Amino acid sequence: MKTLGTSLLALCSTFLVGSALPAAAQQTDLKVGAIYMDAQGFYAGVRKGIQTGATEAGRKLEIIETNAQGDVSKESSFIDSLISSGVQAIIVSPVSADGSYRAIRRAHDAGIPVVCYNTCLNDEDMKAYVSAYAVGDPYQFGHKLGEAAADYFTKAGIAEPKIAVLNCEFVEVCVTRRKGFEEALKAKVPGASIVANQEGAVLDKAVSVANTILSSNPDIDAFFGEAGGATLGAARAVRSQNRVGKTVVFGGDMTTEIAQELEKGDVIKAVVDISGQGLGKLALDQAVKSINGNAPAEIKVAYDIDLYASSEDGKGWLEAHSDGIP
Amino acid sequence: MTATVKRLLLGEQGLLILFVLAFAVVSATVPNFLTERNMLGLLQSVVTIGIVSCTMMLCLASRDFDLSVGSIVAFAGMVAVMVSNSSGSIPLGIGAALAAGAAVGFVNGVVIARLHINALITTLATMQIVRGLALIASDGRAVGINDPGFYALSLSRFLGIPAPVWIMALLFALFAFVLNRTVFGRNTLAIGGNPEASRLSGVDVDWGRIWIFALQGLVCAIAGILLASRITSGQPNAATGLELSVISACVLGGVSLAGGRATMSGVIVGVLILGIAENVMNLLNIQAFYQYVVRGLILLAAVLLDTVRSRASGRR
Repeated sequence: MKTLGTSLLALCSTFLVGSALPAAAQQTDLKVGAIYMDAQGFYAGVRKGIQTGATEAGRKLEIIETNAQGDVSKESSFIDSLISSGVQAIIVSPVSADGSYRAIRRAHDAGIPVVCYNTCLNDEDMKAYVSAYAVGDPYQFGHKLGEAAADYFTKAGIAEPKIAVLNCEFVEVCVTRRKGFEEALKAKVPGASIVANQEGAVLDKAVSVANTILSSNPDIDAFFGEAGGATLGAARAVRSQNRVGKTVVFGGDMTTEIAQELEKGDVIKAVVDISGQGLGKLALDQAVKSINGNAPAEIKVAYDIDLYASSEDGKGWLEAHSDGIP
Repeated sequence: MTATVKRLLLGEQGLLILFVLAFAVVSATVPNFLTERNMLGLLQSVVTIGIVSCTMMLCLASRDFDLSVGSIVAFAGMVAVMVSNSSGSIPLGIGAALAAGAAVGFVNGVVIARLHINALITTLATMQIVRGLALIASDGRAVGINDPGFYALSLSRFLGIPAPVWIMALLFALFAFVLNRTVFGRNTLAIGGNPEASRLSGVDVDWGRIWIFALQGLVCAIAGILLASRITSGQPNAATGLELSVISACVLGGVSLAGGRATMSGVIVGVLILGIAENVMNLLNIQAFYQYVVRGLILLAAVLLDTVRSRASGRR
């Protein structure tokens, strides 16, 4: 048994050393750590943006990356590993505004610039430990969509639209998105009302919840999906309940399926999106500037929020994202 | 509480009686609950949990656990969609998904029964491996369905009721028969009641457990295919946390975590209680944060009732 254990250990060591060799042999001039909150969707876009950003800048990038899965302790351990491995900068979307600061402070104290994207620490800690924060403002995110919804209702002559929200409000950003949406909508269409607000961030749950909302409020005029799963789930429910032409959907986060729905034009009327790839590029750009000692004075670096509000917009998005990565 | 009421509530049908009472109260008080549209929506929303509960019941009854069900559902859905897309044949996609699900379940069973690795640890490992495979196969992205014929699996109706609900009902009937009327079902309960005694009395405990896990995988694949059809795509992150909902439904339905005790009617009631609680809270627009508390309280109440009932009947 001992022999078997020793052999296995030797085999593992050989594998690890063997797999590490090619990476070490590469001549890299940029070594950064990147932490994503999820392996897919928006974060897959951020990952691609970081990689293409490096290629476009003519840099050979070695990237050490992981997925924190929304877990502060995983994030903390990985940041410690990154510090030990000698990365030049860390690009991270912190899991918690108040809970992630310790690990980020350790990186800062070790002289490694930390660049936030999408989410960041609270203002005080951000100013103390973060070099740059690439972000699309969540309030503006909701606000832009609210204005698009208001324009739709005004054009359709609906003065008192009833709206149901499928939310992701276990994340603070989503609460801010809704506030932006409501304020923009009510400024232009004062008669608008939110008649239901239920959690439905993941597609399978969003479909069920949207179906139930349609049962309790058969006369709702629109859904507001605060994130991609909610947007698509609402659209699927509207179709399955034969509400096409009566209930429309406004939502956030572009994906191939949402773009296809927008292209059809009969259910989803407008989508706002912060491009993962665009944000990834911006974060890498800020990381390189921070490594060179040129971190932005303001820390926050705004990224434009895109509005897609027509069938042509959906078609255009699909053409520009043929690989499906947002 | 009069003696009759006490006897009724603490008897075998206690949970069913409580369920009927709760259903009546909810129907009378919650607007739009007892409408055709809501009832169909409610039944569709419990299809995944309901289908997987059939075999989770066998698994728990034989004193085992399976935490990999959510991952298998997502993986099988991905396999069905990807194989259908690449081959252009929906039956081939369905066949591949069923084979993949059964294979994962079979591996679970062999590792647990033959290598004597704890079921909790084994299925915890396969839960992660299989979820990882689903993510790798799709590069972490949802995969759309090319052939609209795939949607028909969940959209087609018979007597006005969607096909997935019929499939769930069929599986309820099938596994009720398996549990109560077959040697396999009786052996399952015997293994859970006392594995050593079962072995000594000639039951092939190892193969019994392997079969249970293989069936679990197969049934998860059915649920995964129907879910993919319903959400019109293969989603690698679908059915996250399903294992806990399914185990909750079984426990609500009186399945003993210590093994040896399970009824299909109980599990059906458990599935419906979970579904109705969720549905009613959505209809009443109760905030999601409170919904977690309510779900936990329902589960706790059901387990307490079950314990009181067991003590009353002198089984514990």
